[in-house]
Amino acid sequence: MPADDTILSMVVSGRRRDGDALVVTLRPVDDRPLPPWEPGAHIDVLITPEITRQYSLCGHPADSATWQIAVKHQPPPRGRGGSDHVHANWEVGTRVEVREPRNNFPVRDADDYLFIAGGIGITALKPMIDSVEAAGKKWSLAYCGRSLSTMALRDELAEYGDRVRFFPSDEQSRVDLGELLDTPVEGRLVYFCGPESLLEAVQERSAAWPPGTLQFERFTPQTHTLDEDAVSFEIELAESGLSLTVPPHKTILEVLEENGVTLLSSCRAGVCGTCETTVLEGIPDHRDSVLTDEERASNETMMVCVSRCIGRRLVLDI
Amino acid sequence: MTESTTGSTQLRDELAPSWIDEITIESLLHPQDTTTRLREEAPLAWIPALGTWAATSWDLCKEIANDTENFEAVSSPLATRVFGDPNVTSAEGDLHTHLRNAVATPVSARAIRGQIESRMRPTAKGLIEKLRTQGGTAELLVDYFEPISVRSVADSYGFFDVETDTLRRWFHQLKTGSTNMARNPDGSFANPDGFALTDGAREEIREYLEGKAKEDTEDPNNVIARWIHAESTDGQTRSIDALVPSMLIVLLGGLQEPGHALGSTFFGLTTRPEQLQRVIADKTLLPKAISEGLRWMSPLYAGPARAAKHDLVLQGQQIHKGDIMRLVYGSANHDSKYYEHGELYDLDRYAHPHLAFGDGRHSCVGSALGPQIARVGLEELFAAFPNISVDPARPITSAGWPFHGPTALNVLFNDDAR
Repeated sequence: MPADDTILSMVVSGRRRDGDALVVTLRPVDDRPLPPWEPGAHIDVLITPEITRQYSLCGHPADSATWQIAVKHQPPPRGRGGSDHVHANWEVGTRVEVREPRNNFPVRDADDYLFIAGGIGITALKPMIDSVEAAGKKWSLAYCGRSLSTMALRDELAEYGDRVRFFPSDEQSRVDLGELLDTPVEGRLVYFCGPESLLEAVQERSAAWPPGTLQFERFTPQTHTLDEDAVSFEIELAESGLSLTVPPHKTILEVLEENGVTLLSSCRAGVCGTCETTVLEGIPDHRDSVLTDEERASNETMMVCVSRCIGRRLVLDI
Repeated sequence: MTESTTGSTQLRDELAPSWIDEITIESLLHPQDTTTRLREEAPLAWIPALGTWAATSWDLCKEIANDTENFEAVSSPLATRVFGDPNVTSAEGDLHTHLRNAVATPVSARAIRGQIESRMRPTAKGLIEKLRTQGGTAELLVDYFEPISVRSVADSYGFFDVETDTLRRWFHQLKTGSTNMARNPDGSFANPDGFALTDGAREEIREYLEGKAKEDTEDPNNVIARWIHAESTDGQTRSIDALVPSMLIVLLGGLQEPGHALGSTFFGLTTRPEQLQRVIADKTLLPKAISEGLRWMSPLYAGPARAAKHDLVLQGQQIHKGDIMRLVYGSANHDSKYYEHGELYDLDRYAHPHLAFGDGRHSCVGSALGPQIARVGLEELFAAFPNISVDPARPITSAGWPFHGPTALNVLFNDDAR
C-alpha cells in the first residue's frame, strides 16, 4: 500500500486472555523495526474495511519488534462490532492493518503522579506507570473495575506492590475519590483513563486542583474524520508520474510532502495562496478563501492545503 | 440608541451565566480556561470586562467573519486611538480594496518567493553566528525570533535602511499602546499616558514613510514611492496620511506575529520531545509543525472585531446595531468539534484548517510571509543546534490578550555538532 504510507501491515504473533480483554501481540509482516511511540499513544486498527478502532499501546515503548494492544470484548448492542470481530476471528497468523501511533495523551514531567484507571482504561496508563517508575518518580494507581476476574494487566501491576490498589465493585470495594482528590498535592499530576461516568466523578472531585493538573482520556467513539462527507480520492502528478491516494484525514499537501514532493506552503488554511497548484484534469472541491468566484469556476488552479476533489481523481501539474 | 442599549444589557444579564461577569482583563491574560468554558457554555457571550461580545467557537467565528450582510469590519476605540481610522482592518468596499492592495502586495505569496533565499536565509544565518558566541544559552525571542521577524518584514517593504534595533523599538512602542485596554466607566481610557510611546513611534514611522515617498519612484524595492505616485485609477487620493494607519497595523502585526509563530511552534514542539526530534531530523516536517503551532497557540488570540450592521438575533441572543463582536480565533482553534484534544500540540493531528489568520476578505495579509520566516528561522536554528533544549531551570510559560505567545524561551545548546 505505497499510496498511504501510514498504514503498517502487521500479523498477530500472540494472543492471551487477561480479564475480560484479549491481549494481542502484533509484529510487522516485514520484521522491520516499528516506529517509535511514547506512553499514552494509540493506534488505529483497520479491523474490517468498514470498522476502524483506536487502541492504546500497552506494551513497552523500547520494544521496536512488537506492539501490544488489549481488546475488551463488548458484544453489540453496547459494542459496535469491532471487538466482536477481534475476539472471534483473530488468531496467531492473522494479518492486520494499523496506522502509525498517535499520541493525544502524553505524560508531562512532574515530581509525583496519581493514576486512576477505570476498566480497560488501564491499557493507556500501564506504559506511563512503567516509565515514571523507571524514572524514579513517586506514583500510585487506583484501578477500578467490575470484578477482579475482569481486570486486565492485574498480574503485571501486582508486582508494584502497595502502590497499586484494586477496587473491584462486586466486592463492595469502591474507590474513595474524596480521599484521593479532595486535597490537592503540589507538584502532582493526575492521569485518568476510563469511562465517562467515572470521569465526571473524578472531574467533580478534582475541582480544587490547579488548572491542567488533571489529564484524562475518555472512551468515546472518535471522530477523526472531521468532514462527515470526506472521502478518499486519487491524485496523479503529471510531472513526476506519481499516483497517490489522499485519505479522508489528510490533505493533498500532506500526501505530497509524505511522498517527497516538495511544494512551498505557508498558512495551510486556505487563505494565503502560496500552495496554488495547476489542475490538468478533474474538478477540485474548492475550500480556500483566496480564489475569486470566476477562478473557482474555471477549475484551473487549486489550493492543495485545504481543497479536495469532487469525484475520484485529479491530475495536477506537479 | 440609549434605550436599546439598556434593553440589551438587561437581556444579557438575564441570559448570561453569572461567572462571565467575573471575567477580568487580567484573567484573560491566561485565557485558556475561560475560553474553554465559554466555548462549552456560551460560545457567543457578552463580556462586560471587554464591553464586546466574544465568539469563541470555530463555527461562529467563521460565520461572523464571512457574513457581510449582518456584520462589517470596525475599528475598535483602541485601534482608532493607536493607529487611526480608516485603516485596512476597519474599511470595507473600495476603500478596503485600495488599502489592502497597498499593504498586502509587497508581502503576497508571489512577491515573497524571491526573498526567501536571498534575504531571509542570510538574515537567519547571521543571527545564528551571533548565537554561537553566547556560550550555549539564549533567550530565543529576543536573541533570534524577534530580530529575524522584524528584519524580514521590513525588507519585504523595502525598508532596508531602518536598523533592526529601530524596528524592534518601534514594535515594542506600538505594542504598549495597543495593549493599553483599561477603560473608565464612561468609556474613556483609564491610562491615557500609556499611549505616549506609541504616539512617538507613529510620528517617527510617518516621517520615515514621507521620506520614502519622495525617493526614487523607479526603484522596484521602494513600494511606498511607487504606490504614492501610481496612476490613481481607483479615484482614491494617495497620501501618506491615508496610508499611515494601515501601515502601522501591518508593521505591528508583521514585526510581532512571525516571532510569535516561531515561539509558539518551538514551545509546542518542546511539549512533545519525540515530535521535536523528528522535526529536527527532517526539516520537511516544519511547514506542518508551524501550522500546528499557529493553531495550538494562535498569536492573534483574540482576533479582529466586527460590528453588527443592524439589530439581529444570533444564537438566540439579541444583538444590537453597532454591537462589537470579538472573534476569538485562539479559542476557535481548540474547538473540540474539529480538534480532538485541541489543547495539545500534535504534529500528527488529522488535517483541519485553522483560523489563526482569520478567514475571508480581512484575513491576515502576512499569512504567506509569516510562516516562511518561521520555516527558515527554525531550519537554520535546528541545523545549527540539533541538541537545543529548554533550560530546565526556566520552563516556558505563555501569556497575553489579545496577542498571545510565550513570554520567554530560555534555551541551552552547544555547537559541538559544527
